Amino acid sequence: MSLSSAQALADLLLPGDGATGWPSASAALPQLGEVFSSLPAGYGAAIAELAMEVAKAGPEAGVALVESFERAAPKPFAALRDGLYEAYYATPAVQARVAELANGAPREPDMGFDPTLLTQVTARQAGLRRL
Amino acid sequence: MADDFADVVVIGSGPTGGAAAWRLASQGVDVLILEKGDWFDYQGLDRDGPDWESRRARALHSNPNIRRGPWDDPIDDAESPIKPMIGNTVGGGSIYWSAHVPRFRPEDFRVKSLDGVGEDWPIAYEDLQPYYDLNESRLGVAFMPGDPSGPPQGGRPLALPTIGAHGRRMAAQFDRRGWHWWPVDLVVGRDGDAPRNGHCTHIGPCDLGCPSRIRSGADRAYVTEAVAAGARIRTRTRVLELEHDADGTVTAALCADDTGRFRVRGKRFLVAANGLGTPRLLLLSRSETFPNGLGNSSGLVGRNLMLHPYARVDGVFDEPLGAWVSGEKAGIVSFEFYASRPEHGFKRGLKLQLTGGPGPLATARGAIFGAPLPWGAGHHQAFAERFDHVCGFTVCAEDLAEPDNRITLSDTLKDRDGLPAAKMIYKVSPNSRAILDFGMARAREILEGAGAKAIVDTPLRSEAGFHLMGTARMGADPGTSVVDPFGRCHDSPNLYLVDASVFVTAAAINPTATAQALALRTADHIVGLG
Repeated sequence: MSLSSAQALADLLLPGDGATGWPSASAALPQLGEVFSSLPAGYGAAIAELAMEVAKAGPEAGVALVESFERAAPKPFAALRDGLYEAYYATPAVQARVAELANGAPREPDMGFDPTLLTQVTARQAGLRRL
Repeated sequence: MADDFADVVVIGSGPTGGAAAWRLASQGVDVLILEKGDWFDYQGLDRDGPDWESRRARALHSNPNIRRGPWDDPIDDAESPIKPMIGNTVGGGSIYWSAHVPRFRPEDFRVKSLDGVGEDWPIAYEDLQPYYDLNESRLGVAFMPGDPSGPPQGGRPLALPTIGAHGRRMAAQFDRRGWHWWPVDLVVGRDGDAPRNGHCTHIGPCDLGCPSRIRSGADRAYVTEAVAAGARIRTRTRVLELEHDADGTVTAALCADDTGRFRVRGKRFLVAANGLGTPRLLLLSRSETFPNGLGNSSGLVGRNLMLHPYARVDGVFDEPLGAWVSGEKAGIVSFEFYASRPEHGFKRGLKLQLTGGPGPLATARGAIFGAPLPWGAGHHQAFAERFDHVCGFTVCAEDLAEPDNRITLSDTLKDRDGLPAAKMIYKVSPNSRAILDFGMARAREILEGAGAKAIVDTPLRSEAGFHLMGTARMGADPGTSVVDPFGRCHDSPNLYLVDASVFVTAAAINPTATAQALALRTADHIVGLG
């Protein structure tokens, strides 16, 4: 499988999004070829053929090709998808984007525990031990 | 390897073996620790590495059957729905732990008297109280004093980190119902009040031995200091059998390492190989005098295996929860339903513990939601709509001892030395199942009250056999127990068991602190014997 074919297929599955900062699979994974080569041996030929067809077809027709492959060969497709997801979410660029997302969530004003939160528990003696 | 000798031979360098070795060595006792694994390579853990989530599912998994590390031997778990989660390295299970060290409650030692089930311990909470204090001071524990559900704690608590925005949200729901909740007792290491959050790289939840060394494992808290106090440690050393005289006195540990077999002799032997490894070693140490295994005249070695069966209930929310905001966080627990109540259809009770949702990779793979994220143009939006939109509660049930739940020797699997592997046979009892079901309903109440739009139940977690207890229980009567109140085997005058295998009941509380307190107490007892 050529690198350009692998990139075309990977980017179809995990495209970049400039507006939100997500890198494409090929941008995040400089060693993309290793992802494909680590897939189960029996699936290699079918996935290589799919990649080649996607590269030739372009993005819109490529989506239809992948959808068709997913229906016709669910196990090889699942291996491809899972392997790609695993590699993608283990890259520094994607981890950085995840951290940005995480840090946009609500946060406590202080990094230490706020003991006033326990006022009601203490006042009620909730869960009071038996002995 | 040449034969060796020590006054006290400690087998296992996990949380309890490490504690006992340190306590003995620091009082001048000649101690040799035998450890089947090696020192844990914190640098090799590379927590900052972006592939942490993948490695935790494999090489850093806490189930040795999945991890298959260089020191791991197979465990036959085909007859247990809950799989063993143990460490085989210096520090043992504390390399893979959540670093929660709550104390058992005083009532936990009187279960039979209070609730008519299980057995009473031959010791009381007060016997262990000074050792809980000592253990907490050695570990460095952050906690909030004043928890109504527990006994007063001594010592200086280290500073607790925030419970996070999601913790605050759930705490409000407990308050609304008048239910108990409290932040966890969290090991932060004795230097835990040193600059804290700068250490945190926000790579995953705080439940794996932390290479930034804030979360102190037993390797750091005890074993290193035991060695500094004069103890010796032989790593990569497997104990195959305890050789003994006709009266049960242990004469030597038959060992193996990469160079071959050798013997380690000693005056006293302490076994701290956890609730699975300890009974296995006793069962392997058969002789004409003890055909059913050393210390097993009661027939109870390996029997009465108690776990903490876990269920989990997750809530899915419309908005981000803040569970993955950078920085250390403490969990919260509830002991509202810890004690038996007449209106419950079960005996004993449970702990609820708040947990965050799945990590990035697990989210992409479909954790909680059941299906992987879509590929293509909608992938990133779908990720943003799921990640940090989930939090949940684990329900930890107090298991009662059942003789048929046990550790025995496998007929099919062998370790690298050709010895039978440990076999785990376990069924969730109707009482434990009822506790889990009740706890799940309470967790759903909290999550729905907090605004969860969907609830996902996991009635029983399989990868949850962290707490292996009761397989060589303590008691005053040699006919109904394996060890005496100081952990000494009834059948073997110089053999002591110092781990959770001696537990009489399981509580619904993480067992490490109690097991360590027992180990420290046994060590002092031995020092007192001279």
